[in-house]
Amino acid sequence: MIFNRSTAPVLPVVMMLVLLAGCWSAPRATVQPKGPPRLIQERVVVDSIAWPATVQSVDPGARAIVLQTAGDVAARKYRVSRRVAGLDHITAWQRVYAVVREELTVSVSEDSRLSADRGAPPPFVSSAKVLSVDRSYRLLTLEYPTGQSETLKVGREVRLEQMQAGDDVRIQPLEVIAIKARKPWWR
Amino acid sequence: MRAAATLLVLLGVGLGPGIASSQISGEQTQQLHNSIGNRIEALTILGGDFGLSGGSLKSTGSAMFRPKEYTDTQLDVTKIGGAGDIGDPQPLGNSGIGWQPRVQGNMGYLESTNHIHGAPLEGDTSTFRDFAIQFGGGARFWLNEGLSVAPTIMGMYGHTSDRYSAVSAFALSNLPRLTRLGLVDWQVQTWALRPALNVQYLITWDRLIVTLSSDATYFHIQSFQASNRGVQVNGDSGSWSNKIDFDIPLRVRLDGHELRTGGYFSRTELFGDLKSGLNVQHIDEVHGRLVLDFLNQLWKVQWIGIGGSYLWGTNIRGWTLGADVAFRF
Repeated sequence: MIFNRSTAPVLPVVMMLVLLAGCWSAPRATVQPKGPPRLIQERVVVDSIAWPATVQSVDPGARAIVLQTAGDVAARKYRVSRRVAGLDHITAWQRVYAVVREELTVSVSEDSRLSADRGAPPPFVSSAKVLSVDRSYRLLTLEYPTGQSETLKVGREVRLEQMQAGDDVRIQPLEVIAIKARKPWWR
Repeated sequence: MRAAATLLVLLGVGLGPGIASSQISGEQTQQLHNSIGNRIEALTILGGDFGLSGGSLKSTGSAMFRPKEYTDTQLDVTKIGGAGDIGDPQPLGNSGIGWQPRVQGNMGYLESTNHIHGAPLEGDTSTFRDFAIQFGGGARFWLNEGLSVAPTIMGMYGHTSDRYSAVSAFALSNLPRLTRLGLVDWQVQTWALRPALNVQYLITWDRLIVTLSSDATYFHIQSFQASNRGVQVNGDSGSWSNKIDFDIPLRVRLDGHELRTGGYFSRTELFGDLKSGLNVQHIDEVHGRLVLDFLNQLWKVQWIGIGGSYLWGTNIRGWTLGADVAFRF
């Protein structure tokens, strides 16, 4: 006898689990966000890990560097912070670990496309979409056109409560605040 | 604890002046060995399983056969371990169910000192020491955004030893015989299988995270090496734990990290040899923590801080204080 008095209380739980199965869906960045097209927030400054990144070019005198990361379609050009030492030892085509500061603009556009009134993005400005938002731990996960995703810790001033999956993100490279030939063990 | 006291009281019954032959019968020896086996099982689980909290615990209770006697047991349990789900949930085909691998592990050391009160063993102490290590895993299946179930299986190794310190004249005169019978001063190695099912429901409200979880766990423990043939372990135990956990951001930053607080209340029902070996029917625990958020700032670390618990239940109470570190893989 499979079902008896002792197993009877378990049945509603099992039935509930069966009924609930099939309701889960993976977060998708390709959904059309709710609400009209609008600018949600600009000048959201975040620190991002670029690893592994390939140095495309470096100009120690001008303190400028162009990095190509595996998750990005195009290379990004950064200025290098004055606090970063040893820039002379960085060479083109070297694989590096870098902490870069970037500025995000988050918006909702029509048909999940960037608004035409902004025109074509300037050189080295890349785009992504919001994949998920964790308000409690202040995490913003972006998905790049290559399909790769990146999770960023954002400050308290960022209006995460207004952001959702599918929002457009324009990424303006600002500066490299740390660069190493090797990835530190703690990251 | 009472089970340990039972052993000693039985020793008193079997070997005390009240017994004309001063001999312990085969039946009594078997009963003692069963009692020891249950105790080993219970302490191996308490010392080595990540599902039960460690800390400094004190157990008191009257002895089973001599109500005027009582036991006074100090348990010190140190553990390092935990459980974690790896990565983000991935779709399970087109089933509408998400899944992610789960790993669990723990290493623990337990010392249980039983101070015996009551003639003829007054002043004697019996100390159990247990080292246990467990590892295993499974998968978490997400049925919707909040509800998930995680079936897991773990293996566990345990080493338990007993050291009897005789002070009473009675014990001093009988110690060699008790040792020969495998009733004191033994050591045993055990293995265990631990299937379990966790059901979890996540609720987020503003930035507050509430986690409701229920864990049903089964243990089968067997000995595979012992210093004395009489010391054998082969039994089944279980526990059912229900917990509510709060994770609250405090909007205060310290050195670039947000301060968070929280804690949980849990109630764990014990079954089988775990229940009889500890003589504890259930353990309640209230836990508080104050931590710094390191998520996405330090490799795989969710938070680092301090935490403390107070535990209480039938015949047992205790506390624990220590580092509170959570990882997110």
